[in-house]
Amino acid sequence: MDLKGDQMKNNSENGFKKFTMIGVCFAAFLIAFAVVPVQAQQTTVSLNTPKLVQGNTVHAAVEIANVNNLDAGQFDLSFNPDVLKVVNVEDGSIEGTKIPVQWSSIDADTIRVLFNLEGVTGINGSGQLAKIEFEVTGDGDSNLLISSGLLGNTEANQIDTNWGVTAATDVQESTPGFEAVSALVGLIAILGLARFSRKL
Amino acid sequence: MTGNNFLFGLVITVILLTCMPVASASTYTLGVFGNANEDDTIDLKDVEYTTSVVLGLDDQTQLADAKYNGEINILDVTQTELIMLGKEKELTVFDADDKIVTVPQPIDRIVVYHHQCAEMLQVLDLDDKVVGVRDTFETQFRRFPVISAKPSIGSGDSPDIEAILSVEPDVVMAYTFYPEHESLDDKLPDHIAVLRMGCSGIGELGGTEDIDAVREEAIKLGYIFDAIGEAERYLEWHDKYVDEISKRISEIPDDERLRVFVESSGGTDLARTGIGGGHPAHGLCLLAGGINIGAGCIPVDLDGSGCEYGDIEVEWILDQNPEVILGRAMGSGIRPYELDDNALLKAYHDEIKSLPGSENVAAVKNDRVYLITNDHAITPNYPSALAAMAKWFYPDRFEDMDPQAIHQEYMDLMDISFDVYEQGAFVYPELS
Repeated sequence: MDLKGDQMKNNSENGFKKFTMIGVCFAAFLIAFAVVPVQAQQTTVSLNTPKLVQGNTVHAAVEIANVNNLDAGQFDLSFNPDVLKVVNVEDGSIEGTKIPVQWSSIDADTIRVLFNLEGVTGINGSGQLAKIEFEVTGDGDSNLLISSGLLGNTEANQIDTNWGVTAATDVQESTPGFEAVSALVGLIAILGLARFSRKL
Repeated sequence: MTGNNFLFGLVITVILLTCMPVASASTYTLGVFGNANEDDTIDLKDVEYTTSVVLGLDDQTQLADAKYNGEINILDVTQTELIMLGKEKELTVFDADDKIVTVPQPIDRIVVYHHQCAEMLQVLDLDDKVVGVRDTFETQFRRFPVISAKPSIGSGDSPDIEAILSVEPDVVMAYTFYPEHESLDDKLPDHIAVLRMGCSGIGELGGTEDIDAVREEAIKLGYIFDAIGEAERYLEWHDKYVDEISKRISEIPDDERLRVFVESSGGTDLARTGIGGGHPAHGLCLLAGGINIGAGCIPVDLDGSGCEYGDIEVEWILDQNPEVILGRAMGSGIRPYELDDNALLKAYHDEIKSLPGSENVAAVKNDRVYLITNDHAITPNYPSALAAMAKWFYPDRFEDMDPQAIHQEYMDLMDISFDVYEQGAFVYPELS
């Protein structure tokens, strides 16, 4: 009777542990996947440049992620005129919609690029704002840098934008994004759950 | 230059001249922020101009700052597009005092102190948006059938701020000089804009600039109240008559123009209330082809506005021997839309004709004393009063013009059921 009682007690404790573990894993899932969309709302603009080799013509892409209700924007792009020469600025594209750009040189080492989507309907998503074609005319630092960036929505208000990653270097460093971290947490939780279930 | 080259040049010149647009009648700048290229409208050219400014390719203009925040950037381009679409959240304009005013958009609740602007609101089909009116509206139910029934917010002499706040307006429309800033603007919270507009019809110069000012104000109100179509409909009516009258008057040589004494009701046997330069009635006189003999001779300013308006001795008038005397009737009881007979106007007319010594004045001898009323002539309806004056002054040149028909068209523009042939007393002598 006592043995049976102990067994019942053990079973009960195991069941409690099992449900606790499932609860923890479920919570981990929720955290991992509920936070991601919130993080996705931050609009970021970044400059993606290939390796610069003297004598080559290269394209630097001004990339945008997670934008909502975008209607227009502008930014300045400065560079070392001893190293780079701007040949052209090509239209960008977000989720298949063309981003029509206009540009002008405002200084020997700076161009201003702006775009204004047709109508005032806005666009959401990620893509490229523009592609800048350079001739690499010399060696040394490119000093490629985006500044004075401004994105506007369909109400002519500024869109909160992270313009942090807008300086180009020859070596591109990659850091895991939040999505990757979240996915990792989720994966660990799944593995933990599977292992625990097998023990039971 | 060979013959062929000359011929080629000639052909090109002719083509260029043919392609050149006819000089636009409008030369004014629409005082709305967003009108970047400073012409008379807001369109894609302004979008292109502002874009060009942002790119550093064109000079900055004050009006290119569509968002009116002190900097010109791509957001001003979007704001300009929104204005074109009537979807902006705010609009900044120059008012008639040249003061910069930002009004919320859309405007749904309006308080009006200003009779002339109230007419314009009727023209723009905005009667229903009026939520409060000055106390003088309540007795003018023919002129303002809908607006006169709105809640009174008291007199303009000492604005009742509490009454204004109680009707929760988006904007208060006032005269340029009345109520005073200290008693109105300074006491209202920031979110209620005070818009001071003229709407008094022709300005003081009676020239192209003044006519353009009327056009500019109508279009500006169209933008402010999202009623561009209605404003353009008004201007179509306005231009049709004013342009025609101006054209015919321009054909009259200076030495054939009539010498007119312009006055306002309220004078005595010894001194009359003369109207000189700077007053809309002076502008009307000039536009109708008259020479206002009082301009430059009337020393008193009206409210320090630079407007010549005040007492002038009857003896001086007799000495000048004007060919026409034009009286502007206003004041006690003279609400022409509400009157059923012309007794008050006739009394004023008789008063002028019986001034001591006036029997020797050409205007009286030849029965050329004419009266207009303020609520008719110094309003957006001035083209119909102008037509009456032009017809009085130069009957041979305006035989075919029907001022009453023009007035009736204006009533139709305001969508008011009023028969100008049967009701009211607007001018004297009556038009046949």
